[in-house]
Amino acid sequence: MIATFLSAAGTGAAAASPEITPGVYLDSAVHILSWAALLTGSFFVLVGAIGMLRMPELFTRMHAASIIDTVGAGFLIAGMMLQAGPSLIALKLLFIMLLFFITSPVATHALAQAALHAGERPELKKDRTAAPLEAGVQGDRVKKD
Amino acid sequence: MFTVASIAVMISLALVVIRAIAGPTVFDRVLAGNTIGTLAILLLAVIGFLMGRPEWLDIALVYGLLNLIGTLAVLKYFRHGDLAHDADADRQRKRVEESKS
Repeated sequence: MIATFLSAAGTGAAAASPEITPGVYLDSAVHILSWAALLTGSFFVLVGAIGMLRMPELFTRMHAASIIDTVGAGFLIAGMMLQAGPSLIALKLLFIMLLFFITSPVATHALAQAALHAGERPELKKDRTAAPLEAGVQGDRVKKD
Repeated sequence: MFTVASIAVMISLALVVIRAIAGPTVFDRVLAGNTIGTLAILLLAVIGFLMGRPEWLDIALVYGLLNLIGTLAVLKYFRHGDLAHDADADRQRKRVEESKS
């Protein structure tokens, strides 16, 4: 990829070369974009995994996992789509991305529901369960059962 | 660059596997399992491009569909203790008991 770019830049200086077409510049631009997208995706996947390891409790870990599902997977697949060009492969990658974007919130929601049902509660800095609802305390969403 | 991406995904897989083993509650393990599935799909796609065989994307698609079904099935099992649980029947039984008392 770098070689393509360098050769395009190098022969661009000697503009009279007959085999240089505008398509070469477009190619290297797409390569650079896809490289940037893949690197960004790798970074966010790593960030999400570190978050899953270091976050203190279940609900914050779910937040870290959803970073992998949205930004990480989104950028990685976008980079691969740029590499594949307009083809059936890019269409399959698009389907995989749509699958992620639809199923990952569903799985996360079901997980949160099941965890709340089983008695898991988010760790709050301030104990909001003690505050009475009728006192008009805003943000008291913790269900008492 | 596919090498960089696949190495990043593999390191993340290792970290998430540590969470799956260490996770204090069963829900942490389910979450880690779901994320392992996501990362496996990404790894399949990236390594398919790395090896020059993007046909592996079909396998990645199927794996993604199975991942959702598996997660939901495990969650339903741990919530109700039963995969064929009928929530409506449960609610009706509760209503009948309440009207009796």
